[in-house]
Amino acid sequence: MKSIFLFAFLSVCCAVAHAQEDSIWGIVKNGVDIDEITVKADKSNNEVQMTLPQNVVKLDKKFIDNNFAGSLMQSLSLIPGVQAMTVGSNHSKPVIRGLGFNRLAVIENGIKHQRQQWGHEHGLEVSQFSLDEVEIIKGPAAMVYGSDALGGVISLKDNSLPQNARKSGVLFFFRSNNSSLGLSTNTEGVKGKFFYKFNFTAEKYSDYKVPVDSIQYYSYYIKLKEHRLRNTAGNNGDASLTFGFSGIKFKSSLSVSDVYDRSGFFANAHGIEIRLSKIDFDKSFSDIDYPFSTANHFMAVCNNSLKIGRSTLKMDFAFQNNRREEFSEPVSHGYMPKPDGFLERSFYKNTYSLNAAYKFMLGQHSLQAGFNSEFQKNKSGGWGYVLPGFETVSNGIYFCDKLHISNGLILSAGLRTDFSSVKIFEYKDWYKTPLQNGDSAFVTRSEDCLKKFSSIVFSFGLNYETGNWVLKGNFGKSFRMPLALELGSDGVNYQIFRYERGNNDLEPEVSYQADFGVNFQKKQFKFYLTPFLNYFPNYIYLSPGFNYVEGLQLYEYTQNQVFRFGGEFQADYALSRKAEFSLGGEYLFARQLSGSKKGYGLPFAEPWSVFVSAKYFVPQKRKRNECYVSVTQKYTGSQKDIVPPEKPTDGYFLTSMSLGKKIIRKKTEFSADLCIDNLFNAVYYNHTSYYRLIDVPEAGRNFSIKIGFIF
Amino acid sequence: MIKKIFTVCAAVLVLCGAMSCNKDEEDTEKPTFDNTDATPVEGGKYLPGGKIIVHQTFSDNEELGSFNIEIHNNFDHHSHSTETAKSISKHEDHDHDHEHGDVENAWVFNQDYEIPAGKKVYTADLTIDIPETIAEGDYHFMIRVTDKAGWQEIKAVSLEIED
Repeated sequence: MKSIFLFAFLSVCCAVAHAQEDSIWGIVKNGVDIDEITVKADKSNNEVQMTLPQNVVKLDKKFIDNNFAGSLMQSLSLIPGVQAMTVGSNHSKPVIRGLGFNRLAVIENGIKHQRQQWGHEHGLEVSQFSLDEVEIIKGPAAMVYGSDALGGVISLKDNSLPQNARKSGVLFFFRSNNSSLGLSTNTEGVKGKFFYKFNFTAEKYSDYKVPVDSIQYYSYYIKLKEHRLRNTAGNNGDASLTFGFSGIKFKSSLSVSDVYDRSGFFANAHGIEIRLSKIDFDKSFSDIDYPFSTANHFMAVCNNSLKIGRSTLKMDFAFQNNRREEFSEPVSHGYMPKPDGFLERSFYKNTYSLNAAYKFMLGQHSLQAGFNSEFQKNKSGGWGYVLPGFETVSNGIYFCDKLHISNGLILSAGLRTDFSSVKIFEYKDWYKTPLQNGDSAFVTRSEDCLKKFSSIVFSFGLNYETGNWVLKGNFGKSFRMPLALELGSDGVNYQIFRYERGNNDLEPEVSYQADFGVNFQKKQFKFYLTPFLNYFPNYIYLSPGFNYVEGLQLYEYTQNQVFRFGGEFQADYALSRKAEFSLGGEYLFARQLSGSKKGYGLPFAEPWSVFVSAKYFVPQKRKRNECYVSVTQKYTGSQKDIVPPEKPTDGYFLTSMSLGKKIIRKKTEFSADLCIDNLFNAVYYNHTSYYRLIDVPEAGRNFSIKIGFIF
Repeated sequence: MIKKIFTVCAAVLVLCGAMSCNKDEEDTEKPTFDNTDATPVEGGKYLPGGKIIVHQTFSDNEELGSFNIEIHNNFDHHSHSTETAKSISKHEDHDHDHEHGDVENAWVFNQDYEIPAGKKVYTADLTIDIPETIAEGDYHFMIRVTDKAGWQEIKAVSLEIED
């Protein structure tokens, strides 16, 4: 009995923080390249925080390896201020401080990742196993990244110079909840000034389990067989190849990657007439029936940098091709007759990007001038209409100055201007709808339209270091171009059972934000507090109205004033190679100040949360080996600040546990990790989950096993 | 310097705190149906070419929006959670019945209606004509109502349309 208590005590007290081990602080240990300053081993967090006026979190491969969750975003959601908006077991969208979709930019090797980010059911189409490093900017970063970066930036990098002359790895992983099986292999090497990297990953998974036996959706009462969410199985794969040259003055790399995903939609919650389906969804948990979607993201990026004396010229080119297709059983609905074929919706998007930046020193000033240019063309197809075809062109130039007043005081300022245009193509129904005068016609859902936008944004920042403290402040204006969907949609959204109407008169969304950062570091103790204030004069909001159109509730795009504030904190105490403790939390508040929903918050609002974690390192005979056990306890508060059609969500406790062992012999490394999520199989709802609206609880207890071999 | 910054930060935090507490109570209540003497009733039997007399009373804590009536076939015997427990158990008996009936000629009715502004309680009285040439069988009568804030409530009633 005593030993059980002892074990429990050890697990709780000592073990947890697998999440935090490398988080904010550990990242600096291995040396990362920030803004042209190479941070060497053992640089403190305070030094990292002096490099940017915004609050920044840098993560390395070790963090991702040690926090292996269902998808990249679920892994990153352990960081205070970062959330994952989940759909099913393997897809999630990034959210920073409550802003997601097109309100944050995902940057891959310096290029804005352009997928179909507007929809709830579209995850992040990147591979998490090939990443070398992740940088998260919590706060506006439009200065360098342009439109969309008003909520923050998630910058992913997988083309950095390998550390070893030759290294290969094989990783095998398994998850119990959705019987997921996966394999990832990689190899990389350096020869003279040249280097290469190759990564391949494949995964297959079945319908995932929830800890309830029935759910209800828009008044439909749905029984689940063996707790499985029908038809949420899927498979995915990705491959990437990088060739690079790394000279003293000139560096260049070319990365080509392709990410493929095929996954089923929860059959009872997609499409309007699924009840008429003749498919026996319960015959197998591992097959993918209709409705399902496929997505493929191809990307080629060429990064170049040239040093000329004390200045650097950088130039990046990229091409991206994104194909997304959604297939359903054809059924008639309203005046639409039964269509031919299964292709309900398709989106094909090509994106061409060019970034250039010139950095130079002038006395105490470090200056940067840059240019971004992007062209996108999106074609929509299939019998179900959501989004018109469109073309966008955006060009932006910026100029930033960083003034080093003294060793501990840096002032920064920036100015940027953007010119963009959106061209929307006409879309007419392919079937006739009866009109009031007795005639019938092909109804126009979106009209030809060309919108031009321009925007000027600015930012001011301060970094101040004194003793063990670093204080930061940043104030800036950011913007976002309205999406074609927001401008031109006019039709039934069958995924969410509502009628959505765009608005051609939308202005570019503007955000003003003040960020503060208080960082403290002394010996084994580290602490940060990062509050922010944010004001949108014209937040683009899809407002649920009270009218019906074609039998469904009408939702219209509006622009309202929104005020938000919030913040995060984290404290860590680490006894090197013995034990680590962390305590952290986040809070967010939003209020609409105008429009028909004045006084309400914003949808999918993340409730406050706190976590404690402890990690204990079991002493090893061989010093290079490692063995740990960790426990994390997280409490998420209830969310009562809701907007129609949301439901209040109760708070919940979640416990996770992990243990692992690493054996290192010369150049080979063997590791095995076991992670248990939702240890007590709690039934809980995540307010930011897409399936929350249809009362689907989050996944039950899950065991993940990961076995890796590096040679 | 640090003290001043902390003082300013604390003041801002207090202000924000006050704002989040001072929130006016927003409408978070859905509109409701009054089911006493509402028609059609659960399990009601109708003839092709006949009439459905609709009598429904809606109420809301603040102000009603509009309503919609939709009738679709229930040849597959699916369930709606808003039906009574009795009718759900009846459906469950038919759980593995995959006969889909004459779906092509099934009756589809879908109509939006307005509610005059400013109403907290509203009774809708109307008559729906059933076409003569429709596939006979089980149907669902769905009624949806919104309030001004955009909340929606749905009710389902099972009907039989047979000669």
